[in-house]
Amino acid sequence: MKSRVKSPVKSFAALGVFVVGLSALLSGCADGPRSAAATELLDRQGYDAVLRRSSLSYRWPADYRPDLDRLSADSAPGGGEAALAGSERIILEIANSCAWYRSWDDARGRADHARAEEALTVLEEVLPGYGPQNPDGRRYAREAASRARAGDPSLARQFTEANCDGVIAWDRTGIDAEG
Amino acid sequence: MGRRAAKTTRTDPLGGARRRLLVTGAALVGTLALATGPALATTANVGGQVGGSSTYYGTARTVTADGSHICLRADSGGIAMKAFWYKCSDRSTRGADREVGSGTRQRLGSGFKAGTVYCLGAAADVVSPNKTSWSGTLDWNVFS
Repeated sequence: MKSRVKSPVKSFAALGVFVVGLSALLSGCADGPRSAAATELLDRQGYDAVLRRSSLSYRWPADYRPDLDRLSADSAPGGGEAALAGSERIILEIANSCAWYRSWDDARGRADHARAEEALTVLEEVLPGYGPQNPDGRRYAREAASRARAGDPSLARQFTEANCDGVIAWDRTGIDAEG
Repeated sequence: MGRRAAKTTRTDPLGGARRRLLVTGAALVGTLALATGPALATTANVGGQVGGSSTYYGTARTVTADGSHICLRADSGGIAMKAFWYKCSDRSTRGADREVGSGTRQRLGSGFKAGTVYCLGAAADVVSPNKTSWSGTLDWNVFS
């Protein structure tokens, strides 16, 4: 039969777990600028190099790939300015989200079920994982995917209109050739 | 007249069913209002370091309440500084510089479209080789 008296060792361990958990929770609440303050600052050239390198780690739909020259020019820090390392990831995540939203919407419009389903899978499984420090953004992506699955493009279009239309240029080379 | 109407309602054999229908309808309307109404205000503790030139912070935040504001209360220990919002995907789309740092709450921008992903930028007013630390509270999805 188990004793109902708590062991002091167990209590101490529980307290330790609580303190560590609380500490993790509090540090998780800290904002990006504060946590990023200790990270590397990038000038324009450094930013451009990191952006191009990082873009290779993303999967892009065949019909929407970002024009990296434009993307870098529009998002890189100006002369005398600095960008925190990691900020290029945000740009790429936004561009990647728009690319898949638009690819899905286009495929849906031309009744290309295979392409639409491929994009929908990315909307559901990849995009909600972007922005670990942006819970609103993750929630938005989940809702956009859920609505897209139901055939409602409203949030997907809202996102591209708010963040990408007229801002991110797409390298559409070879799209016509694909037919 | 009113009393008679009330009595009629009580003796209506379908009263229970009607009441249930009304309650269900009210619940549905309430749920719909919650689902389509403005999102709750979002608050984050923010902070960092600024120098004389603009620093673009790399934390993205998503506006979910259409037409809402972004407000910042920042304290930089008496060093004057400016802050601004910018569209994370396009630095040329940004708000005007707002004097912050005194600890008072300043509106950085308003009328944001839902779905907009924005970031923060800041610069100290004083050009100095030393960076100035600041901290504060950022509110978005707010209407006042």
